[in-house]
Amino acid sequence: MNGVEVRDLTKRYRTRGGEVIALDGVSLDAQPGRMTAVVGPSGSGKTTLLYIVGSLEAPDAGSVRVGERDIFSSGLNLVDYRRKTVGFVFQFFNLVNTYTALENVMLPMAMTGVARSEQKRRARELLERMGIGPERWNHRPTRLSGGEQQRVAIARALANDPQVILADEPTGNLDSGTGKIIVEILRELSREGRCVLVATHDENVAGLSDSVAHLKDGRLVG
Amino acid sequence: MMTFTRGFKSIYRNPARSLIVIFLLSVCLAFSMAMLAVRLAADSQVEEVKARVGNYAEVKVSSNVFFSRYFAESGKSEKERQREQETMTEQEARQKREETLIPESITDEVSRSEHVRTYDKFLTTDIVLPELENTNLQMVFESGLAKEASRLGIQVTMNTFPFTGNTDAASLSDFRDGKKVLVEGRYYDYFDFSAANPVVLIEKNLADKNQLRTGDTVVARIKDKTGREAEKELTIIGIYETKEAESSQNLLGFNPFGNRFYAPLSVVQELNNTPGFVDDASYYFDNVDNTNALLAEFRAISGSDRYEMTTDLVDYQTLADPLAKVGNTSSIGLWGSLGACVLILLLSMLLIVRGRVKELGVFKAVGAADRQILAQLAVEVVVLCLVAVIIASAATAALGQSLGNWLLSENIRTEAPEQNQKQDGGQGMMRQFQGGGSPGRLASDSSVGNQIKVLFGNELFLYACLILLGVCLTGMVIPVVGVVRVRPARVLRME
Repeated sequence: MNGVEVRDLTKRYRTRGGEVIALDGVSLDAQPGRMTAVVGPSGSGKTTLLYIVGSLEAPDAGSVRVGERDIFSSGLNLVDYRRKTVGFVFQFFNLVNTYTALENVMLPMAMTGVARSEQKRRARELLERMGIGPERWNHRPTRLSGGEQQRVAIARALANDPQVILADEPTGNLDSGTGKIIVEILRELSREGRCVLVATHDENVAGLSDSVAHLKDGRLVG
Repeated sequence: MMTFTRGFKSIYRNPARSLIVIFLLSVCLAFSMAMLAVRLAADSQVEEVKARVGNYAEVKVSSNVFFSRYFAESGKSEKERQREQETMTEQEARQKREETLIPESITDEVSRSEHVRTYDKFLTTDIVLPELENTNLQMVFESGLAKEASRLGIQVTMNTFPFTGNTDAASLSDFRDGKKVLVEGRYYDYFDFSAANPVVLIEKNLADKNQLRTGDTVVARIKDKTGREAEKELTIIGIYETKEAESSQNLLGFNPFGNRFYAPLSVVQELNNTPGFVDDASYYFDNVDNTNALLAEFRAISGSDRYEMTTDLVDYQTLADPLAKVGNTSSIGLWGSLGACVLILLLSMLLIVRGRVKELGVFKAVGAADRQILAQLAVEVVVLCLVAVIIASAATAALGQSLGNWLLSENIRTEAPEQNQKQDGGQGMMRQFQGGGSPGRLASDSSVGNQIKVLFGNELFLYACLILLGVCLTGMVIPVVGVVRVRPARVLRME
């Protein structure tokens, strides 16, 4: 398993009010087998950092290495990278409401051309692992609780067995009890050797992480 | 397969919206396909009309010559005309006859045009057959028509018979249109014409009345080149039966009892003592589009306005113009309704894509390539359009013919006064004076332009497929733009 190495990452946004610096020379190492928390208040640049690591955004400067390769300057196929190397967990779950829980988990595998029977088998396995019983597999997200939706989202993130899990405020929309369960699942995933990078403003989540990086106004402060 | 399934499922997300889109698309597509079917039918029928009408031309002596002669003769008193006839030499009489005829050299030269496909020349005159009884002429004498004819310098007696000569009897319109049918013997042909064989076709009633059969001869009283009275023996080689009486458009051509003799042109020229002259030449040329070219060639050959060429261009226009207008109207309808189809599809796809922006972001975040997302949306577009096209096809089959008929009737209604005006001021008047068309002209089938035959064949199916493809491709513009422009990092931050 490979870790994530972020060096001098800078990202600016142009808005009507002028230029906003989201990330200002951030450097960070997230080791495989560890859960790393990026902690900071709203607008500190946590989500931007995760999206750049997940290649959903490109940095203005700096580099992101996953394993031996710089994902932005080595000619890496970013679509392939998103399919196989990273898995996203979002604060608002971002499940496709017209698909069932099972279909949502199958979706990333469908993009990689996995056979439908194999998609189903693995999706069921992952949902079971996340504590979603067969009676819920064919439910649409709107019929699932927040905790169940987030567990389905984690199952979807694991669908293609990625090395890196990027969780953006995974407990932000859950009650504390359910949030703890989700954090425990993420810790378990890190213990399997994955690199888990969690963006949060919740100090409790940070307390359960193996390492913590503090962001403020786009800069790493400790 | 999974892309197809996902795309197909997406249609059920909002069934009401999908049904509305399908309904609107079906209406517009039905209208556009019906318009297309009408357009194809109109184009095809214009070509059909072009193949049958508009490619016929006649060369005759100008109607002005006839007018001036009529006024000159009608200005003379009965005595003056009688004295003139008594003192006139045969040479002068022949010259007078030739004034209303056209030299064969001109008609032959016109026939060498690259546009001319078939050519025939005619001479119609009255010949005296003293041994035959033509009792039907009694009525002509009683009605005073003979006296009227005499005023024009034409001698009509009880033994006068109309003779028509051409190069091949089988090509005469009376026989080809079935108005007259050969019941015994044979037609004369080009060989008889070339060799000036003295042969004739006789009407059956006249033959029966005079107890004549094929192989018998009749004697014509003529004047030879020197003007002396002579007799010419003509052999009957065929007997025909009249199925449809000749029209009485012309005073002098009045022959309702069908006592007409047909003979090779060269023989009729000899009987009339006008060798080298005809009164009419008919041509079928390649295409109505070459009418002006042929007219220009004729003017160059004839070199004067003494002779004129008339065509059935007006007939063609009467039939083809409403069809062409239907074609144009249906084209406007076609493009208008196709535009509406595209607009409906673009708007509905805009709604669909805007409503799924976040979903598109999720797809991209989990590793979907743009083409995979587009394929799914393409399935939606194609399914919507395909269902609409199927419904529209059924509606087209039901409505196409009615729509075509309505358009044609509307165009014929607006066309009619204009066409009548053309007829009165041009060819129609000339024909009335000269006595209808040439014996070479076949009856035209006007039904081809009176109704539109909307066919739903392979061509329409092919076009429907192309419309489907075109509408689908255009409808995909919005998804393509939408998918390419979606930034997952931006849309996934939104809640």
